[in-house]
Amino acid sequence: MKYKKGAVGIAISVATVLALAACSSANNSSKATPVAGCPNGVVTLTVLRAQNNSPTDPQLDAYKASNKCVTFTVDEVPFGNLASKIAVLAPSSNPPDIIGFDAPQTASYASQGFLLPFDTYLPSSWSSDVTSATKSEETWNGKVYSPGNEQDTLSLYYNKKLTDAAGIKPPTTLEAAWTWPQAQAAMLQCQKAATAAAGSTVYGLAPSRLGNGTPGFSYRDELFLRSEGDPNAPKTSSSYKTFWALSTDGKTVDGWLNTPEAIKGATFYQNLFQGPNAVTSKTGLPNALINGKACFDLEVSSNAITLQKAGVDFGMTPTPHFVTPIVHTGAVAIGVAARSQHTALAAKAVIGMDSGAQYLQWAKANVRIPVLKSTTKQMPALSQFPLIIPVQEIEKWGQPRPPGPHFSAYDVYVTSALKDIAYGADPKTALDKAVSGLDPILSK
Amino acid sequence: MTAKTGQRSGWGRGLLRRSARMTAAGIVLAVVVAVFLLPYLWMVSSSFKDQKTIFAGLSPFSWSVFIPVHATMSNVVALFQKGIGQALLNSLIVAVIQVGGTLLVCAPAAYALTRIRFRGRGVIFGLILVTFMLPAEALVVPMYGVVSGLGLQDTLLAVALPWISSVFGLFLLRQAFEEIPIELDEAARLDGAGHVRIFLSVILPNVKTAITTLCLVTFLFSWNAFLWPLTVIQSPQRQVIQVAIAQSVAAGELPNWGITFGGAAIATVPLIVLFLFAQRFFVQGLASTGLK
Amino acid sequence: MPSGRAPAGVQPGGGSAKLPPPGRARRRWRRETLPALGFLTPFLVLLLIFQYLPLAVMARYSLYDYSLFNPSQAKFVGAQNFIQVFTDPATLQSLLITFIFILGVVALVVPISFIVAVYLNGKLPARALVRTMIFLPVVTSSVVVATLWTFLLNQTGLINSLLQAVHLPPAGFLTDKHQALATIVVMTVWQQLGLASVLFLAGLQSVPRELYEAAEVDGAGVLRRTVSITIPLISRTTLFIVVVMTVFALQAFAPAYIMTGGAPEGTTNLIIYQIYQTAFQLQQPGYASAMSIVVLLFAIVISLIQMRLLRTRWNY
Repeated sequence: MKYKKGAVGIAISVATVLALAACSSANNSSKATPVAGCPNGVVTLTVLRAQNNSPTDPQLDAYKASNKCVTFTVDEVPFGNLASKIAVLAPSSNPPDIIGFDAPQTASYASQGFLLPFDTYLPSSWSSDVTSATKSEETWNGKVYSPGNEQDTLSLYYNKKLTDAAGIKPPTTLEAAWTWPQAQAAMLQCQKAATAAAGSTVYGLAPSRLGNGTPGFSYRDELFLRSEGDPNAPKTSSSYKTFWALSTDGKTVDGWLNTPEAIKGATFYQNLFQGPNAVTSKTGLPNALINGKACFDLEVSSNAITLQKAGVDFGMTPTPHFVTPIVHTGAVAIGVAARSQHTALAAKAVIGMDSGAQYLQWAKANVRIPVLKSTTKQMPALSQFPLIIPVQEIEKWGQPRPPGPHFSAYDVYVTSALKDIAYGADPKTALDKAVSGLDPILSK
Repeated sequence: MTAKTGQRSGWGRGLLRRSARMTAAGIVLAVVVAVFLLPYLWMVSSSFKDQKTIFAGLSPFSWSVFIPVHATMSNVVALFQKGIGQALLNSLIVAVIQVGGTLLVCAPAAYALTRIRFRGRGVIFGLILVTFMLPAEALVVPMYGVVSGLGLQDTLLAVALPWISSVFGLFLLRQAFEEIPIELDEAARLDGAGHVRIFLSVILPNVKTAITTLCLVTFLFSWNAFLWPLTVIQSPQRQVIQVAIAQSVAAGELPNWGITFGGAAIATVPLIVLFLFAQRFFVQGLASTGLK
Repeated sequence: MPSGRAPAGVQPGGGSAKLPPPGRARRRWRRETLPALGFLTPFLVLLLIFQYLPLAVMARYSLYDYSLFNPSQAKFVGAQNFIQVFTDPATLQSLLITFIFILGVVALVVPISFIVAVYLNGKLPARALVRTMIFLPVVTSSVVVATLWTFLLNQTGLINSLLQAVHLPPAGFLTDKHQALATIVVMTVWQQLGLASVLFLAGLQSVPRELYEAAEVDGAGVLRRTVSITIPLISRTTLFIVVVMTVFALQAFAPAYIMTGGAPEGTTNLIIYQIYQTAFQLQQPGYASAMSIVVLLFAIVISLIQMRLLRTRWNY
């Protein structure tokens, strides 16, 4: 009997202890502790970021080293959870001061009043120094919401051993860049040669690992639609609209996403996955390029480091195009919450991390492509092969993904439509379906 | 092994029957092994393989897919470096809270519903029964609203708390309590025992099987839960094992089948071991979910 | 397995307590209310907070159009969300797909598990081993099952590899819009077969042997015995299994979330995934709540039908 009571008592206390231990959640309110030399004390700024993304610990430490009155506490989540975590924290009474967010979401966050405008904090040189892609991505309704942190884009990597064996020499300059039909022919040729040589399937184009590893991710695959358009065509033409893929006021995609040109691009895209000229697989195959299971791979610029470390003999050629060369830009940008209690300090910190000597040092050490042209000039690695290719792509061809306050929904519908097309759906039907699902949301 | 009718037997026919039986048993066993066991074997053996070797046995097919020929621990090491140990611990904490809480909350409730005649018992029973019919997954959105209203979002407690008032547990214990003869109650009452005494000394000691079953089944539900932990927890250091491995399939870095397989294996092995040792309870517990 | 609950299979034995005659008994009956509430309070409080409160919240959400980002900007839209549930082609397709999915799972699981249960009830050797093996997927989480099957079904995965080994063409499975739904049905059947078999086994074992022996003496063959004795007497078990499988299939989420994202062309867009995506990725929790209410109504209807039918005539 006593034993029973004891057991119940133990159970209760264990449960309580565990419950208390489990109750810890990350609320840190900014506090100011008085310290000599800092008139307002040392202020603690809260930072929210995605794992392995900016603002990284080295970036924060470097800023702290030269600004002793500021310190940081960091909360980080997997990249896939970043958007929902921001959505959860935004209306709370305690939003993080500094946020490292996905740049295409700028318009969405700014339009809901979540982000602080940076115009009063930016140095006067910023506007002319920053790449145009970053400027348009970080601007909403005439105001700038982040100085931009880095840029990144896709290039076409290739396994030199396999392409040499197949007798293929991809172009090395933007002027000579392939069109998609040319690229597909090269991929097909390499695929046939390599498969014969290896005795097992080698793909012309590696299945993409972007998104969740299945086809359709708009960052890569919407390029097939947009590239069929022409920004220099008359503003009412479908060719013009295909390139921009979203109406200027952001309220509709009908006639912008499902144009005849887009359908043409989608049909070509579909034929990469099936039919006699298929060069890639509908399901994932990790590390295909590294393992010699694929000749080409559309990948981000950081892949160069990965391939170097893996000891693969690789090359890079610009992303192919149809009518107009285009690449999607957009990486992580750093911003400040509008309702932060230390907006000036936080904005200063962000600008400090994203400009000047500290910025250059970070970009050099991590081989990142900066958003400031002046910084790029001071990085010799970026004017040499291979990284010169993505740098020039960003400068000359870079466009953000269609910005707007409903970017998440746009992304979901476009990715889903492209995935269906890759799996064999009729392109016109799939694009029309995306339009009819998306328009009600966009027009809100 | 003689035929039931007894008349047309003869050991020749018996032998034929015997070998027919063995063959049938063998076929069934082979099919079941192929369909149910081999996928697990593949999963476990691939966890110990390098990325390249995983694909080596697949095209063309060879039996080496099921045997880790060049076994390596690198996947397991990588997993623990990524923090899967923390995820396992989180799942364990949640499971302990859920099991403990369920017992603490459902046992007295079951006692009240079976042993105490009181006004309004029927009404309360009805209220409980209504919630029984609601599929939990459809309530995730507002449940999240309630939990963040309480300030409990992103805590392990919030992962376990909504399931502690488990109607399934209530019914399981209720069934077990009803099998205890009321005479024992009355004998204790004659000795001057009140409800609490009766509960602790008459009822509880006699339902050990049901309690063990409830613990095991609740542990199973808690360990395997996915949608709710996915919704409620955002920080990686508080993530539970099922969500952690689901996120390893998703994007962000260079994907590695070996690591994903390894994660899946690690997530499953504790339960399979538990199941193998406590099969009887599991099977009975899940089967007894209301056959009466 | 559903997280922490199985559908109603018990008779609500609580009933309504009848009033004892006036006097000491009734006074005690009233006095009992206090200790009863003491025992019940933790359970009821948690039930209230985590079941009834979300229900109320959801009913309220469903009448508004707002974003989780900015709840203060909510707009009252009345029944519009509900109208949208029944006019939006994507939602209608999702409901249809879920319905077909449930039908497929039940139609496959019930007969196959019955046969397996008959085997387990028989005398063939290695039964315990078989029972253990078919139960493995039951204790495996839906996430691990979905992950495992993603790799099994990959174009270069184990199943296609086996197909190639016997010179059959590789199948598209989850990338083929005609095969995807069937594929996840088969996967779900694989996962639940063990549970259904064990449930059937329990039902079979409760049929008294004497009935079979009497029938045999009367000259009935195996088939006749099965049809006239077994099947009617396990009708309650059968019904229970149908309901368990229905509820589980209705709640399926991992196949859509982990394996397909609803693709290809929405043929695997199970309704719970549709609700999750609408609320959290498309940022429309009001609309998602309306969908949830529709699903809840379906679930309640199913449970009520089951509770009615469980008062069957075949009690022996």
